[in-house]
Amino acid sequence: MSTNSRAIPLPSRRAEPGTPIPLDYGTTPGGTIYSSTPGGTRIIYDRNTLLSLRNSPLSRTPPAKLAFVAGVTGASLPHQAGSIHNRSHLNVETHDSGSDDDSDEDSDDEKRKAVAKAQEEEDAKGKLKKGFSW
Amino acid sequence: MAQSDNNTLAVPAEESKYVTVFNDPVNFNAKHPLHSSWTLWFDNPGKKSNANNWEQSLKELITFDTVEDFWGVYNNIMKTCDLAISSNYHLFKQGIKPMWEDPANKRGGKWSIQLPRNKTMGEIDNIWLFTMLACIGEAFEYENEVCGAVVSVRKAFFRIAVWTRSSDNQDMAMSIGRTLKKAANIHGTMEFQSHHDSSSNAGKAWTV
Repeated sequence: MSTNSRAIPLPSRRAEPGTPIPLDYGTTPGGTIYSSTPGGTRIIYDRNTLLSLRNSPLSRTPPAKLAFVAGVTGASLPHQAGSIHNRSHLNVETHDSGSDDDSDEDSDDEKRKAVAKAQEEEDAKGKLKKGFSW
Repeated sequence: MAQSDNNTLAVPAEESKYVTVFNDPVNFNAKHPLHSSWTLWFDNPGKKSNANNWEQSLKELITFDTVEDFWGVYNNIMKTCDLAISSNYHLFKQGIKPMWEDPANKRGGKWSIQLPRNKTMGEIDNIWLFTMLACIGEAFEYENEVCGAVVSVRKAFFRIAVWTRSSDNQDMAMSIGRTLKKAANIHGTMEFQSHHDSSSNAGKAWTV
């Protein structure tokens, strides 16, 4: 919230002499950051542009409002710390174990038991409740 | 010490630290706006699933509207290959629920493909990622036709789907199917079916 007044920067783009023109120079995404045009052309980004933004500090920060679902969001996911996968920990399901219906192609009793066990272990540690801070 | 339990979480004063690409072409930190806001959902109905209670297991994870916020989510949630069986991620435009009954989906359909689990384990994360990037980057010619995308984790396969707003315009549908297949590096035949036909197990409409 600066109170200094100063000129609004003009959207000029400068490049060193000899810099190759980007491949997507003539397109709306990537080459131009604010790429919507009057009349409502959409803002588009190609895959490489999006991937190039993948690891900036902003992109690594978990959004504050990300809902917590055990085993899906939250602390200590494997790829965050780069730690070794612990599958019994990862496979915790989000729903309470309850009455079994017949139903679907995906069901698997042993899996559910393993999952329930994993959940108990997790609850015992109290990790999920106390360790989760964002 | 008396107030040691005071919660003093520092909230960064982000506005004051914005550096746009115009201020500094290399070290800018303003976020890149997306054309649409997108909501990521997760569900794992497990064995309790049926038509009446499925919606209860559906969890709205977050809504975002910048590239960086997308990555902030993606970099901090479970990868598809590590999800429990019967899990689904749904990425839909904000305001569209990932269900047939939503007004935006009612007359729609979906492009989908089932990929064998064993053969696809190493690729599914990128296939789903590239599917999402095509959505949020608005890679589809008929951008307004796209409602959202779904990845489903099953015992024997992964399923990738992109849901469309309508199901009676072959040109638009084919365009979306071709773009999706290319964008997500999908090998195999994708099939388009209207939601109405899916629910009644009618035949496939189009393939790409």
